[in-house]
Amino acid sequence: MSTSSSSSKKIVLKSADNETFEIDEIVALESQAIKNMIEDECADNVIPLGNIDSKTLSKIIEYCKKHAESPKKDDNADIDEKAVEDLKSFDAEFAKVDMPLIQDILMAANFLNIDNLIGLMCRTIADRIKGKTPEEIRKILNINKNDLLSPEQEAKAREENSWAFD
Amino acid sequence: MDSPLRQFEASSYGYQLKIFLGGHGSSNPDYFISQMPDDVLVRMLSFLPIKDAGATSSLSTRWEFLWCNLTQLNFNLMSRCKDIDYCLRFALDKKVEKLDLNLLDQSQDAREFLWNNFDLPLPSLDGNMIHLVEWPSSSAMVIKMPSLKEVSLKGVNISEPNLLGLLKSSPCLERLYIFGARLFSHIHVGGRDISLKYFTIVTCPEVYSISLYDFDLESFIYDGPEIDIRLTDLPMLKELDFSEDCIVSRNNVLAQISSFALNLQVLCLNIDYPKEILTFYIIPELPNVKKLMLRIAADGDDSLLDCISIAKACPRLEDLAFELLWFTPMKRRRKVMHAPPHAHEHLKFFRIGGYYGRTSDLELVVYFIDNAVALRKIVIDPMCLAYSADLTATKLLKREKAAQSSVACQLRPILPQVYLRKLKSRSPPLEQSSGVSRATKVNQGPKEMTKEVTSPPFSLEKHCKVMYDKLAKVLAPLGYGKVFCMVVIFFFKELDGRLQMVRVYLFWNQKWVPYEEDFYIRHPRGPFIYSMKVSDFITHGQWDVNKLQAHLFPIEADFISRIPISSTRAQDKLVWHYDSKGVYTVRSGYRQALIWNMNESSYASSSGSPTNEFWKQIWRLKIVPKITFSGGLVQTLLLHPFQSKIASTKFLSYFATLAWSIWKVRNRYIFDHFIINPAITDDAFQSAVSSESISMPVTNGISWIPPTSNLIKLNCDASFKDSSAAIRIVAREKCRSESVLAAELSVIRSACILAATNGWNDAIIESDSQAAISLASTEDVPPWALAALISDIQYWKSQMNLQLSWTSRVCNFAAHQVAKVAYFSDVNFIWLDNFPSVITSIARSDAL
Repeated sequence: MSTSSSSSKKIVLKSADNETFEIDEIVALESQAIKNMIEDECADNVIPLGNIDSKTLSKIIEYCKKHAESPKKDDNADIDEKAVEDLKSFDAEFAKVDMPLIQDILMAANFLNIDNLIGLMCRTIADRIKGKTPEEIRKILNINKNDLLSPEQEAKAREENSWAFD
Repeated sequence: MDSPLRQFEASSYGYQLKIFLGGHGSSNPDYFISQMPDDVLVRMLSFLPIKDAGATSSLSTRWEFLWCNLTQLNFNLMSRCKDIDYCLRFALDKKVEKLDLNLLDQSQDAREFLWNNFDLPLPSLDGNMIHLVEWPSSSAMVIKMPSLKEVSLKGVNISEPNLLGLLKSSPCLERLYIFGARLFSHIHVGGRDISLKYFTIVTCPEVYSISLYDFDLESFIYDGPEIDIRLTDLPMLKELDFSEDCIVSRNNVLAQISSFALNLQVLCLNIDYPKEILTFYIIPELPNVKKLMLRIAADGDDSLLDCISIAKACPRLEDLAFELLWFTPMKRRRKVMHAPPHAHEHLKFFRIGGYYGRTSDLELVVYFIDNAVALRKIVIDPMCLAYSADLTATKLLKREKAAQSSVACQLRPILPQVYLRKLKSRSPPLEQSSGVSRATKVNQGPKEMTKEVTSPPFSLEKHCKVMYDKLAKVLAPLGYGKVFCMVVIFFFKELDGRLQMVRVYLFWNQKWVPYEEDFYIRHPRGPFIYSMKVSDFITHGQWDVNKLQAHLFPIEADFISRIPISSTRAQDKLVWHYDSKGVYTVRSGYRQALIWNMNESSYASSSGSPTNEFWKQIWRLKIVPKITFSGGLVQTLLLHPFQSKIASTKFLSYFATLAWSIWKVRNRYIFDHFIINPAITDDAFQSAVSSESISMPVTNGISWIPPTSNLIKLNCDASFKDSSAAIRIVAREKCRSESVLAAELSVIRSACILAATNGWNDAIIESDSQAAISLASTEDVPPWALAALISDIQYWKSQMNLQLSWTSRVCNFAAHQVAKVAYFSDVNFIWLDNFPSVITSIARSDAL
């Protein structure tokens, strides 16, 4: 990698269904995983992302673009409130997707190591299961019936953590 | 149940409809929330209130214990008291060791809403948590908490009975940290049944007095309003920190300290009226204090030299920090006063914060520079931490800049090494700027402070490189890369002082390889930028000459290949290479320091006695006459390297010519504003070199110049006796070596190896070098340069039962003759059977 990598440098990502996305390096740097690859100079060609489909990937790129453009907190202290608000509303809007996509995004974000996005998705899921009964939560998280606790185990768990169940 | 509507979920953002067609229940194969790694799921849980998180334990096997990994518990404000009780009981039942309870309401100032705080309960026998308001008659109600070791309470109130109950019923509790709590007004804690060692109280506004007595407290830190503090019978106290508020004068802390002064190691005090306190009260002797921090109110410009008396009371002080607090710094014009000298022998680190450049500030710094003999580092921080919160960012920046410029001009002449906080170009954060992250920049050169050059000025670097490449071609074959670099460096330093930048770009990484006087390789290509190790250049116990030559200047490769290395894998060791034995002694260190000192001073004056010989050489050079005028430059540049043995007349001629060329270019730049063109400099230099006026000296110039061939041919003779007949073997070898002794030794080693490979046990090896023989059989520490050889010889000696002995040159005539023959031939040979007639005849005569 040349030391004077200008902002115009492009990174090409390829999704599982062979769609390619060309993005600015600065956008790609939001992902710690890609950042490491760039630093290790393994990002010269197309980066194949075999476990992320194009729908999820385009969503993630949308998120990264927005966050790469907005000023960083620790970079500049006097960023105007508006930018923060703007980013917040973007995040809220971004999270309005259905659970499977949230999970896809969470999975991909975890793979690409985009900390902010993991946090956002976690918060979204948490918001959706907050105050629900275990039965509802199982449905939302779509927990496999084979994994359920046996009635005795469940009773034990409820007893041990009785404070959480009244 | 077979309705296509499987899932209807409500989210906080509105309703979404999700329709699965067909199939049964949760058969969607793409669902993998439960398959996410633990840390992601735990992070998700951390957004939930603790109740919801706990409830997930009943979801499935995957989730049963996940919530236990939560590091932060998120309590719901509404019903929190009961919940916290539950959780605490749970934690205590599970034998928690470290309890960190942070119940600060982040949205509010901790100091104002103390009555809203949660009260710390204690576990009782009946399984409940109890909040005691008054201490009950029998303490049997509170059960023991033997697991607790550290308790940290933030925004948690404690009643008096509960605090005492906590301390008395937790036999292992060592650390207690209380922040922002509503405590009772008189804390009176003590007694031998308390095992607390570290006690910290921060921002507890309702406390009026603290009295600690009779237990093994090691560290006490108080930060809060001015209160009464009484410390009695705390024999183990090592650390005392009252740095935040002015309680020293009120409590006469200095007098209290004297009762446990023996053990005290860290002391932080805040002194509001330094003059009064330090003159009225007697400062106790603090024999073990290593770290001292003083916050001093310094609004006026009164002399602060009185504060030194505390430092004087600490004979083992290593780390001293002054924090000067001021709001409107006043500058008075008065003379700098000097306190009477006092040697602070152990003081290594000195920091002064809030330096504004007033006379009082300067006095302190000057005093410690003069008196701290072992000082390693001074940090001068122009930032005043105390009141920075109240200032606007721009004001802060302005003030800081002003302080910094006064630091620079006042301290530049006296500091050997200045650490300055670098101002960032942007404005600091609006909130309280701690300034911690600000970069510090050091420069080592005496009497100079260079600013960090962030972006290299245009073309200077390029000039360096062009210059370097061109001239390296001329100089490299001669092996003068090292000197060359120095010339370039000084040349550009002359230009604009941007030495730092040049150095960064031109000097290569330094790693160990023995070289002339400082043990570094100078070759720009490496090898060490490719992180090669010395061992990479050694194959089968020999220097890999080809590899060396591929990576280094010829003269370097040659020099390295001449270093004897062990063939028996002797152990590596550290060597103080200024001493012949390689062992560091104070004496040799002192001697070396003297030499350095002398050299340094001779940079300034031309009359340094050790360099007289050198100057004679310079003036004796037969080169273009005008070059001798540049002697002044030569003198400032390059005294040191010239004292090395490598300096030959030829070398000097080259150097002087080069220096003159550069001097000339420099002058043209300075006075005529001529743009520098390294190519022209190069040409000028080359034409000067090639002109006939430089008469290349012949080899017999000055006595210590090594012969041109760099080959020393030596002989040794190994006499070998079998049980019956005496056969004389002449082992001879041509070897390349720096010193005669090394050559002799390496021949002896060869003889050993020869004997070993031929299986001649009980051999006697004779050499006519007395010194070599005695060295080889010595038990003492050998000279470090020869250590490898000697350890090899001793290894073979012990393996083979060899004897080393000395014989006179007459007796060693055969070897002598062989050497004579060998001197004129280049073949390296060993005769075992067919000796030349010359040798056999001598051998015969020897046999007689």
